[in-house]
Amino acid sequence: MTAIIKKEMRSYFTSMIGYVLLAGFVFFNALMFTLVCIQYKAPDYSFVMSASAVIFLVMIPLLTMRLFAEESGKKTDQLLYTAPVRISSIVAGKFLSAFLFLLFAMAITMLFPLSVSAFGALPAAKIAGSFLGYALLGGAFISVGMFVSVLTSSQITAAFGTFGGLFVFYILGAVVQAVPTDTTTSVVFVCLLLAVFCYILFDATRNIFAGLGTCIVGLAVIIGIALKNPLLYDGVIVKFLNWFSLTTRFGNFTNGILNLSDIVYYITFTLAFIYFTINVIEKRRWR
Amino acid sequence: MIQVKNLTKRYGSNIAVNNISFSVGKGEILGFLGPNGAGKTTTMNILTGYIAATDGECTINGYNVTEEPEKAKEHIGYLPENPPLYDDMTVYEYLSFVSDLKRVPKNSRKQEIDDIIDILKITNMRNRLTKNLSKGYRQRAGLAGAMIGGPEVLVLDEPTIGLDPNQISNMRGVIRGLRERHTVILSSHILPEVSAMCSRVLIINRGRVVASETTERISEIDGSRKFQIRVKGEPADVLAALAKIPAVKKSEPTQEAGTSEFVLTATGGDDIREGIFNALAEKSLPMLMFKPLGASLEDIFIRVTAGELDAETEEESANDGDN
Repeated sequence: MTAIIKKEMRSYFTSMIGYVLLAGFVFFNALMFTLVCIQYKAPDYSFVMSASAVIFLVMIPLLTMRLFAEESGKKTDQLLYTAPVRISSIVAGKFLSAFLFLLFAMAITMLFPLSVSAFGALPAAKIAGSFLGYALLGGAFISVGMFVSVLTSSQITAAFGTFGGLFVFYILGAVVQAVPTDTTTSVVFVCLLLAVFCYILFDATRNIFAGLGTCIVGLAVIIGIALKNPLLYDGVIVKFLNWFSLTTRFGNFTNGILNLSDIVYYITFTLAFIYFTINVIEKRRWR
Repeated sequence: MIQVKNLTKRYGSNIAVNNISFSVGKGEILGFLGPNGAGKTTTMNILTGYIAATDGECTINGYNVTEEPEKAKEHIGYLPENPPLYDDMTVYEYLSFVSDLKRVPKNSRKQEIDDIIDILKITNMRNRLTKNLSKGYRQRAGLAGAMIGGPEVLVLDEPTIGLDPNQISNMRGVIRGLRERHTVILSSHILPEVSAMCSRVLIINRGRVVASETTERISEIDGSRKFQIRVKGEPADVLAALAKIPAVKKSEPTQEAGTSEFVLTATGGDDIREGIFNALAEKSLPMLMFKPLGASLEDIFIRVTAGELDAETEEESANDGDN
């Protein structure tokens, strides 16, 4: 794993991409810092972070596009996958290298709040919380980017795909407001989810009975609940989509609320996408 | 050392590797010989754990590639057709990375890399970026990477492709030298190349092993089938003299005045060389040139699939010839 991390960190800084991303990230944060803190003499750096998180939409795709797409494009993945290393440690190494890069970039921007701390009292705990939320959000985005990168051997496709994916996650909070909340739509939606789940089950086990059986049992449960207590379905779609709205929870951090469930949520989300990435590689190799 | 049993790889309805079985002993150099698309690379990719087989199993040094991939891979070094080099690294940096990846102990790393680049004669290239290397050096840098960590088995996919004649002969020497410490599997679609390097040859066609032969046997076939002769005298006289030789006689444009040239291809299984000499000597027709023409891979294939070789052909390969 350390071999991969070292190699990835090296390649960020032997090419332009590392420097360009660092410069862009720091510049954007500095701009926000100047607009928010300096111009309005506001001591609360969390505002800057909540405003600058949007740069992830551009930065993360560029950071993660090469992770796997470049390897499979140049066939260097043949070296990695035939070396006596577990796939999980390759993926973990790739993720950590991008994440460490992000932490490094964030460490530079920490100079901004520090530089004004001499002139008055800063809400230090709130700012620290924001940094934590920022890192967690970035980590979750990186895991998505890495997942997209493993699906393609073209870096451009990976970058655009990641951008599209992250954009959806980013605007989900706003979209949710317009989603229908009535029982019928919700039941249909739950049935669709069940269908997808059953297909994945079938695909993983290659057993038609497992897929079909789960589908029938699930359908019975759904209809049973719908007849018995239809109120349970109210707003299911909203709840479901909100679960994927990465930015809603980020707001908690910048508002000074440190919630264990938010932290667990981000970590779970990140681990899930790391797991998907491992699975895509394993599946490609073992079938 | 290497055991492969009933290996099959399907891509949808397309069968790339069809029920291949073979084994390789310690210190052997085995050649995969076959035309493009025969399934050589696929077999190698499965053997090294890069892709999975649809069916069958491979065991390297007692470790099953599917069940204990990390253990099995510790014993394999793989040089794919395109050496997996990172453009932004120098040769030395690349080899350090590979050592790191293969967990070579830190204190012996430098020594090992130095030894390997010395064997492969790329010491003068150690600080050059791999993207600036010529094809020959890329190939050798890739081979160096495969040798890192001292794996018992080396799998080399078309190791001499794209090299110039000097480099090819150098590479052949290197590979023959590997025999002391490694078991080697290599692939090629060029017959003389395999004869020059390998102790045994597996001929693969359309995903099947059609023959397994020692190279001595292959070169026998090679040397007693097809000849070019130049004889002083009229073509008609020469043809009359050779009338009894069981061979197809094809007239060739002659290079010297007063001589005639023929290409003879034996039709039976017998060695016709002596017969040619005696027949011409009887008629006092001096032979000015006698040149064995190596059987082409194509010829070998045709012979093998027609069942002329008493090879370990499988039952199915006979049907295969009918297709």
